[in-house]
Amino acid sequence: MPLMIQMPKLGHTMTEGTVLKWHKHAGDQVREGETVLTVETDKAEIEIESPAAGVLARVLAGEGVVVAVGLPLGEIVRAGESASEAAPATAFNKEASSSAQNSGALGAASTSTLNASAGKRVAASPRAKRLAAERGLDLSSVAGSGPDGLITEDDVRKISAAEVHAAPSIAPAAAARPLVASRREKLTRIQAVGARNLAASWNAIPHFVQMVRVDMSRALAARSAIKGSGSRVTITDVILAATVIALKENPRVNASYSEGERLLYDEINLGIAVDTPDGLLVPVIHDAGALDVAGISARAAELAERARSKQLRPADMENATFTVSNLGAAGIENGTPVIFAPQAALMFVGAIHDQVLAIDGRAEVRPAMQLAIAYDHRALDGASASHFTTRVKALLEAPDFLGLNATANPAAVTRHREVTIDAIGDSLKTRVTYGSLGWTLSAEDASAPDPVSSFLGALGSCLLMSLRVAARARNLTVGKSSVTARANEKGHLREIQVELQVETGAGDDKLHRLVEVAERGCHIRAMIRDEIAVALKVTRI
Amino acid sequence: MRTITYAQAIKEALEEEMRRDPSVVLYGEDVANFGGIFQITSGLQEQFGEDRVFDTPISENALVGAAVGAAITGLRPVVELQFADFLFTTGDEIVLKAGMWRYVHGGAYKVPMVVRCPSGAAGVGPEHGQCPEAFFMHSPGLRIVSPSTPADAKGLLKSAIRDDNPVLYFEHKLLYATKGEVPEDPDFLVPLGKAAVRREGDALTLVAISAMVPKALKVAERLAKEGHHIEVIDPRSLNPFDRPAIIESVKKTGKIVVAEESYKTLGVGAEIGAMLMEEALEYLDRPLKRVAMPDVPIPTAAVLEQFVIPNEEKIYAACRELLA
Repeated sequence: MPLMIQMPKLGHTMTEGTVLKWHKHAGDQVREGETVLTVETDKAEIEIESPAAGVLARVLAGEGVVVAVGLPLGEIVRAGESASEAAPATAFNKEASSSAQNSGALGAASTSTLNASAGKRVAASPRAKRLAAERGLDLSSVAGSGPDGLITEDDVRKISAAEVHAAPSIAPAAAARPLVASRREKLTRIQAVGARNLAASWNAIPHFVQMVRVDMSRALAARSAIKGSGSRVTITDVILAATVIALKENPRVNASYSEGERLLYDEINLGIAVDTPDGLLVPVIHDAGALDVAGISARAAELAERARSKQLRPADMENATFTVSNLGAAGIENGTPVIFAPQAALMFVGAIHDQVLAIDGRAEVRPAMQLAIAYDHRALDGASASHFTTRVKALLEAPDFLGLNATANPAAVTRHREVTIDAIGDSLKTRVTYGSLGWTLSAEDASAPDPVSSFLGALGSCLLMSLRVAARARNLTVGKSSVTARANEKGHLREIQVELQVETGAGDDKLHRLVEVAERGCHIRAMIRDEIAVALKVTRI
Repeated sequence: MRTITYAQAIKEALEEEMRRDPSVVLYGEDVANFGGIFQITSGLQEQFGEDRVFDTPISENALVGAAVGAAITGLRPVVELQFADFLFTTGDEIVLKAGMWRYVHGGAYKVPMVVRCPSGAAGVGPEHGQCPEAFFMHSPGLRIVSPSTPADAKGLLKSAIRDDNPVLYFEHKLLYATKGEVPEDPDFLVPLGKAAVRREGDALTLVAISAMVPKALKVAERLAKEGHHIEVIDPRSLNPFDRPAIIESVKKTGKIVVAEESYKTLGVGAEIGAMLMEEALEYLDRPLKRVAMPDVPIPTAAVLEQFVIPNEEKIYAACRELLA
């Protein structure tokens, strides 16, 4: 049988797409996987490949035509086959292009997208559901015309054929001198869909916005320090990382409102609004909660580059749970943003510039910026939202999470000698958390050190540090130094061999004395029970 | 083709089958001397003699019971009930004997008999005006036919007489005088279990039974003028029932109205609705609509009778509701 190339469904909300360009013409040979045409979806341009080698027998939807998901675009005939006769070779083009009158159907349907959120029952006739399934259409956003709003077969056929059109002329009939537009700019598909979705968000979501001013001096200093070490982390990345931490601590912000329920997500999928020549795109850093600032930075840079070069895949823009919109670079200080439904909140980031702040009773000039966070009032009240708003501010004003505390600001050091250990699922693995740092231990495989190896690391490190402290106290020069610590491979800990390698000009006596002092001064060594043999050996490098 | 009435078509079927097969006998209350309460059998005793056409005492239970006995011992009796309502008097003989004995006795007997049942509200009140097909659709073993045209009246009766199972043959009183073309061919038969598409369309499926068929066709005509081309299906036979015909039509239209003169609860429409739920749910675009007799005794007062009988207006309104 000939193969139909169909309008793919590239996202949960996608109901139709536009044929942008055919790279092959009817009659052309195509290889399997070769790009046949480009379609434009709500969010991106997608290249569609041939599902098989053969001939592009027919083009069923011309360039510029809007086609519902699941409907055929072209037909590939493999060697030895003949083209199907049933397919409507030209009817489809006509139907799609003559459906201007139908534009109301889709427009009306889309405004209700947000009302029909996850889990809500879709009242559609069985026949309508069957047709929608055949065409890959999502009925959750369709307004039914049947009894009690039942979605009928006709409704499904209408959305299949409907085309999105810009609003009709705005010239008021009664005006003495009608205002006539000198030219009309058709919105790109991305802009048109964005316009529709934003209007729907604005209509459906009762917004409230909280604004705070953030002293960015320490965040900027910390970022400079990181940058000095060769990292490409930007101040925006620092803001994103702070946002992720605040989201972890305020799960109700990383959520959606749905018909009397709050849907909370474990995953933090951070949408980042990116300006492109075609309009605003919002690629998503998925599972940002698992990334540190460097990881976020790398991912954000990659996505922004792909957005600008039109290489974003639909999956790159799916399932955001929170969005950050940064207009700081454009010099905007503050704004009242619109949430992207069904997310519960969106954070607007303003420009950073020097401002006079009252610090400890004195006027000081500090680099500062404003944050404006819009919340869905159905999902959150002002008090719980304020915990998030102020937490983002606090994290940026004391950016300990960047791990630069000791040098950047001694006063902000995470408490010593306190770690938290969480079991990972039901595995024999744990996550050790120390301030904003962390590491994993494993007793079941080699994916991470086991607790004993970790202990050997602590012992060796402690001995090494003690040695260097002792050396300093005695004005002895110690160059390179390292430790190898080894224990019996299995069973209870019975013996530990520690080999210290030290580069020093000190004589043997002094060196051995140094090691003795180091061993005595090492708190970890002091904890080891007497029956466990610890053999300490020192060699020179 | 010549045109005759529904009543004449029934009589013609009886004559032809009695001529064709000497085992066909005909009896009932007043069928011989008087020619039957609706004059269907008038003159048949003269034609076929007192052995084959005779009157019985006023006991439907006895005459149907005797027919069961005659059928299992080799005759093909056709008995006439004056009114279909009298079937209730014959309950045990019809339901438990006629319907079940062929099965219960392991196929040792056949029960080739026909009970003619004049049905339908016609100013005769609650005990003489019912269309009780649905009661007997519930009973296993009974064939049930309800012809709506003279040709079907003849063709279905001839098939019924030749069938080796008991057949309840519902002839609607208000159809007796209706006329239509009827083949003269003595081998003209209409098979049991085959529905007729009376009018083709794709906007809606209107299933009409017996006297509802001509009403349905008028409704279809009216809707066509309004731009809705509906399909009218006449099942003709309710057991066996032509499910595929209805399912195929519903696949096309997605909407269905059933018009019948049986009571609404557990009526023919109820069975069709349940059948569609089981076999064709995914093709339905609207809830099924039933236009049926409300669950009340049929009033004797003419105005009230007209109030409860399904008529063109009610069928039209139901269709419009689904077409909206």
